[in-house]
Amino acid sequence: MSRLRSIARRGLGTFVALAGIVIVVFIAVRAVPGDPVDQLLGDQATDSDRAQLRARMHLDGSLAQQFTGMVSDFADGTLGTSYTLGGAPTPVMSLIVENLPHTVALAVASLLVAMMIALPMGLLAAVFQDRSVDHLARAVALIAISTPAFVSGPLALYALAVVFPIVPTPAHDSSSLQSLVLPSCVIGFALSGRLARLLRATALEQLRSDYVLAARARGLSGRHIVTRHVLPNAVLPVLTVLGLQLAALLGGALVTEKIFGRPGIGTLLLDGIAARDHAVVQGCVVVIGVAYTVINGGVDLAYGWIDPRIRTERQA
Amino acid sequence: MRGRVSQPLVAGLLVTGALVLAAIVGPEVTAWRPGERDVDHVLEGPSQRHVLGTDEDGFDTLARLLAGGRLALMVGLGTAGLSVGIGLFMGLVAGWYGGYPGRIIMRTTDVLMAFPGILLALLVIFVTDDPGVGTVILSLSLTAWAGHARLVRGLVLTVAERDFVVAARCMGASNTRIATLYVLPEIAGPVAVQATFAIAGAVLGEASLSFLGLGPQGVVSWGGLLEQGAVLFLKSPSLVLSAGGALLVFQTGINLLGDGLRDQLDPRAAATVHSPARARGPA
Repeated sequence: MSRLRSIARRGLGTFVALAGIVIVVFIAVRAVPGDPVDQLLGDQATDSDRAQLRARMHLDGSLAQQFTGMVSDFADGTLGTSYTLGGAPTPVMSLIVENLPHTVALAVASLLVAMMIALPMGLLAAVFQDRSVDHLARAVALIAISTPAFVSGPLALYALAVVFPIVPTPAHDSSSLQSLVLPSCVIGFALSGRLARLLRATALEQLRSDYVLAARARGLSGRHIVTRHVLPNAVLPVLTVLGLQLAALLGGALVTEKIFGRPGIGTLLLDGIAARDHAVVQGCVVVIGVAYTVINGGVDLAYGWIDPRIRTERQA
Repeated sequence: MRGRVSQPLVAGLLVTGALVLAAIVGPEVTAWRPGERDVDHVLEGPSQRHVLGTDEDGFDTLARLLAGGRLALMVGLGTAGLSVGIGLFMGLVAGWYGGYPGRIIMRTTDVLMAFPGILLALLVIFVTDDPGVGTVILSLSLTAWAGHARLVRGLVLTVAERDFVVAARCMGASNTRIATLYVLPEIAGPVAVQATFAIAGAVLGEASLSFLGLGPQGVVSWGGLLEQGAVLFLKSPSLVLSAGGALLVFQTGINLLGDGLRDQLDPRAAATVHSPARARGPA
């Protein structure tokens, strides 16, 4: 299969997934019991007010017309209008643009922390296989995998903000870099377990390969072999998982942002759910879904691009 | 049993066994009921009267923790059972029969797996006004089956090539007979391993939903306790510590169980980890 065709196939798959997301969201928002117009306007509104709002929310007409109304909201980039959040009627897009940077900053910082923990842990565990360093690293990895961030989050908050008050408590200033420290450490630790395990497995595989033996026979130092030969080869699958975790962090933003009381797209979505604001729910779900799908697809493509062996395997 | 029983398996069985026992028997033998309030002892730390303390309404933390364990068990087993059941059926159809139904199934799993699971569960909860335990199980299973179906399909495709399946086919066994009597037992091991991890995932999913305030209503959940405790932890950390601890121990136990089960059932997978011909380090 040519490269172009595999890209096209992947792109088509992504497109189908995106269409699926939009359709699911369309159905879900309309399946919610209760009339959103009534909820917004209350009992006192006149019929003409209702009709006007209904038209603006694309809730009049047939389902097909409603669907094209929603798609047109997506196409013009506003993602519909929120009537409950932000005081005056606000385009959902501007709410998202306001909130998304907080989510992305936390996700990137968490991934950095995760790599800083996982790289030494996985590599040391592989090099010193079945010795105490390995056992310790594997135990830590198991704990990291088994500790959800909403358990370690409050615990870390308690330990660091109350017992040893050295880091800023989350409520302070969420846009400052300092406020990222605690959340990114907690989430980064939770992510590091899986990464370290994977790196250990791939590094072991590399350590057993012939080229390592050859390098050793040529008299290269162990440090040189591990850092210059084993690590670059072993880290590739780990980078893929890192990409997938970036996508998962955007989807999981709901929980992480609630733990630390941070603004972001997850908080926006929860606010939208609490206010029963369909446009916000719809917009947030679609944006998160699109980001997730596109990152996942991109990682898949990048993997084949970086590692030629994947391409040949697929061709076979 | 082939050879030695793996240590993680034993450890996992002990931990999860103890927790399951506590969740089933515990609520019957504790001094306080989960719905019983001790209005004179509010927001207290551990004491003789309340082993793990009380919350702001005077509810006994231990009693609520055990009740949360029951819910976790129910959601975990319910979701794993439902999603693995659907996944088995879909995977068998896709792998064994293939054709158009198979293609449709695989494309559906593509879409489902391209979507963050919790978001879809959230949408289902958003649609139902008053989610119960059943709704939560359903909403979590809705995406979880896709992964199982893919695994089953892959396994079925390899088993279908094996000689004993070909032989059965030559002897005129029907498709359904081969699929259920020959293929199914052969793939049961890896599916059981994945089912164990599915329990852990479902418990975590329910706890996340409850933490967001979108879990099953009217019941006690570890996620709900964590959310409640996170607000109160400055005044009384025992709620967060005990609910977080319970979830942590449960997850560790299940993960150990799954890892151990995998080592036990698939010596090849274990061999790559504990290889006798291990690569010595540079030291």
